Amino acid sequence: MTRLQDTPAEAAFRERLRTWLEANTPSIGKHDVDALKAWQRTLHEAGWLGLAWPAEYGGRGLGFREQAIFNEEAARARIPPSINNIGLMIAGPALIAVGSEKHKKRYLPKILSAEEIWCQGFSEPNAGSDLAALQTRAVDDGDDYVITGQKIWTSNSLIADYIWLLVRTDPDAPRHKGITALVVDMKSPGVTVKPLRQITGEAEFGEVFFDEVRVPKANRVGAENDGWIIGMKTFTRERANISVALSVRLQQQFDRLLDTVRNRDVPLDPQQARDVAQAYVDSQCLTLTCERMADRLFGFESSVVKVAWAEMNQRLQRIGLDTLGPDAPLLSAGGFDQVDDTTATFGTEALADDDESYAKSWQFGYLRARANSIEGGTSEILRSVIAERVLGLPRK
Amino acid sequence: MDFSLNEEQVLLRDSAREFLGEEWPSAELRRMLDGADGATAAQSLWSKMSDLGWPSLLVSEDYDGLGLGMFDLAVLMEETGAALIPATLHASGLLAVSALEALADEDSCQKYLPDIAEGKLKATVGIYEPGSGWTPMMLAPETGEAVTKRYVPDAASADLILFVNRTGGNGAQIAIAHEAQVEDTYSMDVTRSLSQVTCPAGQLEVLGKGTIADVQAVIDRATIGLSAELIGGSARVLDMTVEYVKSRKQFGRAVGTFQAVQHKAADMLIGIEKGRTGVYYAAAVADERPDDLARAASVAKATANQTAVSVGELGIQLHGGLGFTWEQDLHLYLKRAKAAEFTYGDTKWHLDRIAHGLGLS
Repeated sequence: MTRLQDTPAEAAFRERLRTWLEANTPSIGKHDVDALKAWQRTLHEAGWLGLAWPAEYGGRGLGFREQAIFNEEAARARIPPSINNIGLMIAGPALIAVGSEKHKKRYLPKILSAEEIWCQGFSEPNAGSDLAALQTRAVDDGDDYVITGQKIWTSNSLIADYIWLLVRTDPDAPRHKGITALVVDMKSPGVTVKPLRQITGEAEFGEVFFDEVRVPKANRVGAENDGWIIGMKTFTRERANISVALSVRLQQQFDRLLDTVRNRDVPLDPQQARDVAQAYVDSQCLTLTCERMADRLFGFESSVVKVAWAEMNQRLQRIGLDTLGPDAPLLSAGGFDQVDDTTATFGTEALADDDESYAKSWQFGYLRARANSIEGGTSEILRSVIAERVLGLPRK
Repeated sequence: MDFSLNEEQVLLRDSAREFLGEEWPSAELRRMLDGADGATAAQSLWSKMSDLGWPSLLVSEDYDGLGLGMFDLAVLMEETGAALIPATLHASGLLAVSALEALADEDSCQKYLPDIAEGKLKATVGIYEPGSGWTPMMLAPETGEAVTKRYVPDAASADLILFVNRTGGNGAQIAIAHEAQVEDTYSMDVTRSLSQVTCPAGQLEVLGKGTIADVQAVIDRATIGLSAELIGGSARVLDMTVEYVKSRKQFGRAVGTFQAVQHKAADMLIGIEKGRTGVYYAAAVADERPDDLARAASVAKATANQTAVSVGELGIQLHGGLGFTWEQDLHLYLKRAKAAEFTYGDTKWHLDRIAHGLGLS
């Protein structure tokens, strides 16, 4: 058996994909929503999305392996980011796992085609790590629920058509037992979205407010008050999918780090060179760990990869910024509005390799990486998950 | 990529774990360390391992071996590392077999490898010299004068001591060191000796020639095996620690319920998973893509060093005062980790080699 090489079928899949990406990958700015939607539709129509999703909902019915090959080739071709990443990586897989047949047929194909963009409404101002403290209320009113409350840290909420929402349906039940999962149309009367500016200067997330929003009970996923389990299943999928996608991103960031240090006039000192070598070790090991643990990533062990990734990326971004030396803190005119992820340049367009672009991208990367150990489960919570759920240590 | 274990590898792992649990429990290890009949305990284990065919695992079928690969050996060595067995399998079944197959001529392979495979002959290899560091190009050219090698594993009980020498330029040779004088320089790792061995002038019997690159490849294979042993040992330390913090009670509850304890245990697992990936990847590279061996071995060793030392330290910490006692086995794992960290290149050496390969220095 060979371990490092693709099987003949995998090699053929990779070759077809690579050829297709070389011919079709566009250059799109990361804020051009319409072009990004069109690009996702193109990808879907060519059969490259939903690789591991069942065919009856528009997927390809293939496996994790094909998805991993797609991720590798997508990184290599620097394809534009997925505009519907929450739908593709979180809501869609969760619907496949727990949704009704009707919901799957209704929502999944349009997640793939980017006709409908999704966001996820879990966190609230008073329910972060302690998600079960969520207070957004859903009051039973005939065929509808009436929803009032607030969600926060909602990626893509400014452009989303649907939100994958956890609400409290029974305030008197023990807190894990009064939560329900719903699909809510973001155009419903009473839904308001405000951008949330973060330490990088941009607003990648939003706050979503619900003021007596009527949602048909038919939009409920699973049984009433069964939302906690569904939320947990969503989380393990989120961590698994995001880990795999981010290991690819870590590889790209490492390549950018190499470009940055090769662009320097002054050679690295031995410790700096070692730091870069350590970043190579980290990015290699993370990618390979995702492959090695693939069949375990949909369980609690995804937390192992998520914590490792967060720390590796934070270390890599710090190294990148540090290599700039005295220029590291210098901002462009325009201040934090100009700090940007200049690595978010796609397709055949060359990455900018001037000093200012390097500074902007490492400043952005360093600051953005602070969230890595907070988003999708803080590293503190995940370490407890690893200890209790993977190692079997007793709970308090 | 496929890092899953096949049926034979699962069987190898499980049977090795069972065998070592019976034949090399802590009491037997302690008999080797403390008792007057230490050599007897080690020899008895070696005979039984030989019956299982472990020394023959890497030896090619041409020389009566099993002809398996580094991946198979890595799976086995995770278990032998977990059990803290003496260095004989590493020295004879990995280092000496790799060195002979890489450097010795056909007749010498025919003469020695079948006996090594059978376990009748325990071999070891001296490579490093005072002043060479971990870099074979820094070995002094061999001139026929007396040669002294350092850090030779398991030399005191070896039947065949081989020297790998630089012959000038990029040339290298493998030779039997006759009349070798073994000075037992003990190691912090009390389960394994590292000896200084001197071969008097005119006593080298050359078995074959190669290049310094061949020598480095031999070391890289041994490095991967050592990394597997370190990760296996780390996994055992974590198992012991999990058991302990589940049962040890303070303040009326198991200490494993405290977050400060839980998070350290989680860090141990994160390091072990990373380290196991490095080992399996490097072993697969050794078997399938030897051109990339150097960098892959450095990924494995740098990661294994970091994991094993950190897990060893955390294991002691989480056992509290008990972890600091001689009676408890944890210190043996930390000492193995710390000594192994400086075998075949420390973390800095491996990161420097990766940096050099990336064109950064």
